[in-house]
Amino acid sequence: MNRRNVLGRLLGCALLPAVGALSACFPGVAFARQQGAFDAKTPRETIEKLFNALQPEPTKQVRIVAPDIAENGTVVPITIESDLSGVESVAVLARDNPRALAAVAKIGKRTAFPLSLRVKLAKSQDVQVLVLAQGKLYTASRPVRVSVGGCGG
Amino acid sequence: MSKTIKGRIDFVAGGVSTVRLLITHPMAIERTDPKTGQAVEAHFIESLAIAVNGEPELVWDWGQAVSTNPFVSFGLHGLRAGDGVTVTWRDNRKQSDSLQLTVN
Repeated sequence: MNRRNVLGRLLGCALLPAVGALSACFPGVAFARQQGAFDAKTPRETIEKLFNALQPEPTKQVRIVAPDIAENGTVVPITIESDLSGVESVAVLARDNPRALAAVAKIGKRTAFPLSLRVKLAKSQDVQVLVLAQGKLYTASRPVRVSVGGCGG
Repeated sequence: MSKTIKGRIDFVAGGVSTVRLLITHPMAIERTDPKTGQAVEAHFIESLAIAVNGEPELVWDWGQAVSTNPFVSFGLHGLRAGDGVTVTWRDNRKQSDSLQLTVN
């Protein structure tokens, strides 16, 4: 799978008609989906849909571990670390993807950092992580370069 | 045994245990087939729920931007030997699978 192919696929994304119906049968879980956060195109719109009026505050207490250069934009490992306590949810945004929101976690009391997952990035961009802890919204971001040639360039 | 989920708990008594999960799933994004010009529907996991002893603990909501064959890991405080960790995914075609792990 080459990069052009991936880009085309990501750009070809459109709304999912079944989303609303599905979230209805999975109550208490799909809060982000119900609010349409996964359909939001821009980071700003996504944050509004997820966290309403809360303003994210940049912090060093949230750290993102990710490669500086990702040779394959379809598998970019992201690890989130944080010293914050009372974390309620964590959102991972790929700011320049056709739809910014990649994943949202609703976190219970026993869950501990680090959290890891792998995401697709359409192009070189900032990965932003939002952490809601004790009613306050914190954010951190980190640039990831997606190389074109696949040779580390 | 689940056919699609592989899971492992690195148990640390009295500390933070690490759970690692590998799920086999296409996580296909919505796209247009370049040859036929037809729309190909997305097929991706919408929700991954983790419960400890039946109590919901961590719920990931995913979009199409999570990679194929998703890998996730996270920590869990204060697990005890014999605790059960249940992992369930559900995708946008209403398919689902779950795996029960026992701490030991």
